[in-house]
Amino acid sequence: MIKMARCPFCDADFEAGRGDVLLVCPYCGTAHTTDGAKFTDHYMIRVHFDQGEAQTTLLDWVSKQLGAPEDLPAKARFLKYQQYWYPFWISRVDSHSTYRGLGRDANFYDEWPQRRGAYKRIDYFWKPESGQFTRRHEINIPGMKDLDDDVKRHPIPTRAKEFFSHAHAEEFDGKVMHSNIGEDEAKGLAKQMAYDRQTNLIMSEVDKIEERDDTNTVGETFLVHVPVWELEYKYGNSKYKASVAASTGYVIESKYPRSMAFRAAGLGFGLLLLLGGVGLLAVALVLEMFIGAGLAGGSLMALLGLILMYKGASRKEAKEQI
Amino acid sequence: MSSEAQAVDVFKCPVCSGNVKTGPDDVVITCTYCGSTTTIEGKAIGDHLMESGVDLDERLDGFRKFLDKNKGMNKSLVQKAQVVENKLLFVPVWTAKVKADSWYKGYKTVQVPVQKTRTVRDSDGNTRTETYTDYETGYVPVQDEIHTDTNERLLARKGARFYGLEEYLEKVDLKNTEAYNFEKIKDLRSFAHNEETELTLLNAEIGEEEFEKTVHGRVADRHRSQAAGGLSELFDCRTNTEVRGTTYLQAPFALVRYKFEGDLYKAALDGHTGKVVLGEIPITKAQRAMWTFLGLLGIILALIGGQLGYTEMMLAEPSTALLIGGMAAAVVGWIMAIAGFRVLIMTQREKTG
Repeated sequence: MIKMARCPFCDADFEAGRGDVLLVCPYCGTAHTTDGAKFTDHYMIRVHFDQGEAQTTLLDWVSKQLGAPEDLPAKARFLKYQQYWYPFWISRVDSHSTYRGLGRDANFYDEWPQRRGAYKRIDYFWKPESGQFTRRHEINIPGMKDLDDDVKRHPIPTRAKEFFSHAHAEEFDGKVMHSNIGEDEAKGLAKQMAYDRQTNLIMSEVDKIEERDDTNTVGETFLVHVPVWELEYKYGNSKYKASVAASTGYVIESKYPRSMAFRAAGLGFGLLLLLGGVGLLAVALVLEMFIGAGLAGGSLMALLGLILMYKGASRKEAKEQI
Repeated sequence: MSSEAQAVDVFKCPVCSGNVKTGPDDVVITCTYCGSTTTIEGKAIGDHLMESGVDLDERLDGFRKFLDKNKGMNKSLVQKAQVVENKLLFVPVWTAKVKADSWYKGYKTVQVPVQKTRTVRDSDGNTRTETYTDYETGYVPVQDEIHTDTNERLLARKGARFYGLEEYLEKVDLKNTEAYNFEKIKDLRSFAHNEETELTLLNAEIGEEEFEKTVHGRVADRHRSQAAGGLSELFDCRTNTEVRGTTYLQAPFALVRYKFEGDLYKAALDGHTGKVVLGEIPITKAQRAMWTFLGLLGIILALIGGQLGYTEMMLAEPSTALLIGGMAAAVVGWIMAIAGFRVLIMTQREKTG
């Protein structure tokens, strides 16, 4: 999968994946296409959390999660800590759509004498409608196809983006990822997504589109690299992975351990409730005794028992809500 | 180092000629030296207002009050909470009065009472007819209008999301604003990464025209969903909006992160009043235990209530009081149990200020 590329600006050789079309030289930081053309609309989001701060923030945040062991911040050992710079394409698309279509409408017949204004029969028909939408869309396309979904969805922080500085990424030994989507492909995707959004707008007005005319003009398109700490820590005998946004310190996602005590309590207490609930239901339905208590309380106990057992048994992943 | 050569985007302030570092998408720039605000083309912005902000300590006070109010039985919350970050950002906000008029059309259904007759046979074998009331569907065509005149606010940044920002924007009020005065706010401090830092000023990435377009769409969507709410089907909804008094302002928004018993929580503050708008509150072990106890009580109540209600229901002549009492007890028990166990498995609480 790995091939070598040569930087047309500093002549250094570096590794690139097979699908990568927009490369960032790890020596001089110049972004360029595989044909050697320099790409200048290249930005980044600045790092505000260094490795140590990212790790501390992660552990402090994770340790409040349900059932996380109390000694987690003390005992967790970080095995991997790598800063990745993920590429995103941001495009502005000015869209204008005019449409003609059919919207639903209805006629009403036979008024109810005892309820004025209400009718016995409704008869739908299609009514021609037309209109237009002018919108400016901001479209964000991850530059890597196999990027984790949570990283993809995480908002690019609102702090001012800056021109890409290779020195800044090097400060943290950051690994700047190449984009396997080129500028033209990104623009094409942005155009398609803008078209889809326009379609949704039109479909909120009409049920069937008969004719439409769209102009989608892709304007300013740039590449922005967003820094994320990809961390892995060990607690007990298991390893847990986490992604932390390096500019804001938000935990994008993290797997975390649950203490044995929590699991035992959840499963034990849950099982107890479940057995109690099922027992009461059985007494009620089979022996026909304590029917009221069995139906009202037994079902409640069984339900709560199941929830607790699920909480005790499940493997856990947490995401910080923004 | 070829990419470094053009690595700074600089805007020359038309008032003081200072070189201002800007983001690539900024369209309205506030000079970091003299504070004057212009568009990227150097044109003056009509009214540039701000809400003044309060400094570090006052925000801390407001935050502590929030903790105190929401501490519940966790008496040590205020004392043990340790603030690790207290940042102040002046965010760019567009505000305007939006008058919107919608006309819509659709229908709803009602149940129409209909008197009907039927033939019944009594125990002696005689037949007779009786009348009874049945309900049939009636279709009511609806044509109506919605008129509103509201204050709308929009963060002038693209794709921006901060914890609690939506809630904060609701609190931004033109009544609290004054003419933009950089001198007055420039010494306000932030605290992060164990040191005091300067406040952050964010420039607008969304211009006036785009704001007015966005806000039209937002109000129209709101009218549409309000119209659709009371109807079985909405056929048509047309909205005209009139945006007036568009104003640009810089509003102080503060973020606090704090540690409690080693765990990290956060809160969003209105930097003008120093009050919390939205924040996370820890749940201690004692609180979890208390809620679990409540949940268990709920289960017992549901058992007793259910049994009581059922027994009464089976009697030939049930006592209404006992029947209703039993059922009510069962329902209350369910609610208590679910609420209690919910707290047991919650990570934290979220409270508005």
